[in-house]
Amino acid sequence: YTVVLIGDSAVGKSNLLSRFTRDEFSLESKSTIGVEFATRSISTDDGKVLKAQIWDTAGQERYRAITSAYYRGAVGALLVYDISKYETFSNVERWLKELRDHAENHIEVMLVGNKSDLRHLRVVMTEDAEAFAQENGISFIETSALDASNVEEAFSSILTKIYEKVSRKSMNSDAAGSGKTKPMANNASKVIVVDNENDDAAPAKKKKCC
Amino acid sequence: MVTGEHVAGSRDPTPANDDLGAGAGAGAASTVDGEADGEADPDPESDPDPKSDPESDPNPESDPDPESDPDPESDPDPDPDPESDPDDRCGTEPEPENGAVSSKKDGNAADKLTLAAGNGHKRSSSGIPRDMYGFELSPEDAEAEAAFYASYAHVLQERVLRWNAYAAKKGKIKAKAKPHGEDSTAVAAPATPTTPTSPITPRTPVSHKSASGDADAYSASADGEASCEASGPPAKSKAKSKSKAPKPDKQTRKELAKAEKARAKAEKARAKADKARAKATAKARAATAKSAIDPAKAFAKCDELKKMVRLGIPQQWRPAVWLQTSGASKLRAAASPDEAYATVLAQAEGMTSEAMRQIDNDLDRTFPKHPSLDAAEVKAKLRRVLVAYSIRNQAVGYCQSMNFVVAFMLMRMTEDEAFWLLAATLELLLPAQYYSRSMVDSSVDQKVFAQLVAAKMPALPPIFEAEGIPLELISSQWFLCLYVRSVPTETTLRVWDAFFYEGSKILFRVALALVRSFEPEIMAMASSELISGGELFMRVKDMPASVFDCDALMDLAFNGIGSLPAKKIDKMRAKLRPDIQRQYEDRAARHNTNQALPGAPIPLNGSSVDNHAHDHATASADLSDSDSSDSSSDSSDSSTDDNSDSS
Repeated sequence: YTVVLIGDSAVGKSNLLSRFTRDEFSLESKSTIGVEFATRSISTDDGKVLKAQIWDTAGQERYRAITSAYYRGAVGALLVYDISKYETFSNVERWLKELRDHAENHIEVMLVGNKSDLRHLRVVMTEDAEAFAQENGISFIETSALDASNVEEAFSSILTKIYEKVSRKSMNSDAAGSGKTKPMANNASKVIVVDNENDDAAPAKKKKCC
Repeated sequence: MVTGEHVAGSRDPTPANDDLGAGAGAGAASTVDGEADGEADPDPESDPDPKSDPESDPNPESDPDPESDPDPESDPDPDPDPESDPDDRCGTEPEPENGAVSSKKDGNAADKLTLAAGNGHKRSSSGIPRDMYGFELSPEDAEAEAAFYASYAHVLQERVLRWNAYAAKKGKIKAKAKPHGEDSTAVAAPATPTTPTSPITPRTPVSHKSASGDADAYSASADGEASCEASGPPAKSKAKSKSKAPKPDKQTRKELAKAEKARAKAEKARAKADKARAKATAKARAATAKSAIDPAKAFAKCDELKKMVRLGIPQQWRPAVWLQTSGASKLRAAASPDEAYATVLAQAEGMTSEAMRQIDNDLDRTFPKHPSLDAAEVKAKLRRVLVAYSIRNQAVGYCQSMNFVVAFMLMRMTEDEAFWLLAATLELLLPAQYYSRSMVDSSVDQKVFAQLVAAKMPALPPIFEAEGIPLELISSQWFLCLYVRSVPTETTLRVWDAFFYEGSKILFRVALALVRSFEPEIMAMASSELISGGELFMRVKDMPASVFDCDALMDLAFNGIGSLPAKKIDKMRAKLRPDIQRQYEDRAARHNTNQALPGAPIPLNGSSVDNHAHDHATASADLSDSDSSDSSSDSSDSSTDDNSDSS
């Protein structure tokens, strides 16, 4: 499965990726120019191994023209903002639009509020982000690449969803003889909210969508 | 050079390392008096067991040892032109005579010395191997680098002598004659714009110490390099290698011992070369103090200079030559007082802009941990140059990747010089929309590159297409960062030498050379079937990082990829551009229309509208500056443009 990391510059996309794929974090990471890539496999509850190929992209707006080519083929997107910078959250809409314009129709999107360790600097309320996610029919989670909370959860959740979607899709197409069904459309109930203070709650959040 | 702790700090120490670490340390230590007794070869006593180590010839020049270069990419194109680079990595470059080095210890390969001394302490304290310019290296790359320089040092030394002679011959300022009017004034002016005109002297990598009084590691080390090198680190390396020594079994110990010996040999050669450099720099300084050089005269473009540039500019001449050949000093000389760096910078007072926000975002993310960028003062400099340029060129503002380019410039020149060199790069050498909001010309160049690869190496594109990875995805970073950190530091500098002289076609030549040199590996990977598109991407992306043999790469770039005149590139650009421009405009227009209906939610799968208030300004700005492109960007003299292609 190909998943892309998108979102404003310096929200922590590269560190989320390195935390997930290598369990590494660096306060002194370099700006990403163009595109980076990493891969990791996880196993699902039913024992399937899912191999995630994750693309990390430059955040600066002007790079979108270059990076949008990489959305093609992506079945999932983690749309990342920084809970301590409001602007990165207000730009989320634009990123969603970007995806709508350039990605596959059925791409699974998860809104990720990163840097949840910066509690004292929080300016984006969890409820606001949650409401936004619901409105737009995407899932939501708060993570911290620094203390690793929910990072694993964010990736495995989106990968599981993609897996379910894909298997359902193939079932649907077997049954209906058409791959054109849109099982995910307008389902607001699949929003995942994870309290960043409570990492242990995470496994419970792997609920089925639809 | 702090070779001693380089060994100890960067690799797995082994029992053998006990000896060799100490040996290398002793070698380095001898540089204390090495300045004085440069002729006395310190190596014999530094090698505790010479007879068991037939490889450990202390004289790098008498032992070119091409095998010791681990660079997998050896030059497939034998060079027919003796002028334009050796195909042998240790230099068939017009080299006085074999074994002559002992008699030309002062051959100033001054490249790197100050840096090395400056960050030697860094390296030993952090244990992270760094290259001679302070950039981190993987242990394998550190080894590869050391091995390469073991056989390359004398090439650098010879080069410095040649350049010194050339500069003195061409650029000598006659007594009483004014230093060549405005032009040389401009070149010589340090960061403080008020400084009166003075001719230049060759410089050590970062010479802006006096200009801004910063405490950056590089410049601070310029004078105390010998003692820095010699006193602290060696002792440390000794201790370190001893304390950390594990107990490998007999067989591996043997292998390790062998490897260590090879390394130690390389380190010794490096220490020796560094010593020679230090001496030569001092000499060059003394010499130029007597006879100053007028850079405008010395480095006026001509065939001879172009050939020399292609072979590489010595570190201490780089700023002066770049400023001349790129057109930066002319830009600066022609600038009105309003356009002066200090004036432009003054406008930034109390201002905020999108560019500034992004710049601030990136300051800490530009070569993090690099010793010369640690200091807040150096970051402030980087910020000032980027901010000033964002004001000068509002169509560009600031584009990520300029941070790396400017930081790289600032490691070897003043703010004022970096500002103008950046201006020349963006305004004279590259097409206008390279870093602009649309980045259209950058996209165009990636398509041009893809077409060139398809034409010259037709087997490759299908591999990348099959994996769904356009090759441009990898190369865009090479181009946008002007190879900074894509290839090893000295290799980047070699690309820059040629780029500032010959323009943007050099970026293509180098990219093609890189791809060509990796072609066999890529083909092998593709046929192994074990690799996913993304892995292929990352592997290919990482390959250039170990191209230490800059001579071989540049030789391949100039002689191994066939004809590539600037005119041809311009033609290809002109052909591809309209489509890409249109795509961009469509995109921008779409965002603008959507922006008219704020507040609506965005159903991902639906056809509804969304709110794009923020896009508005950007998109229209893009459109307004998008027609001012400049596709005739290669400033190279097209008559001599491709002289090496035909040879």
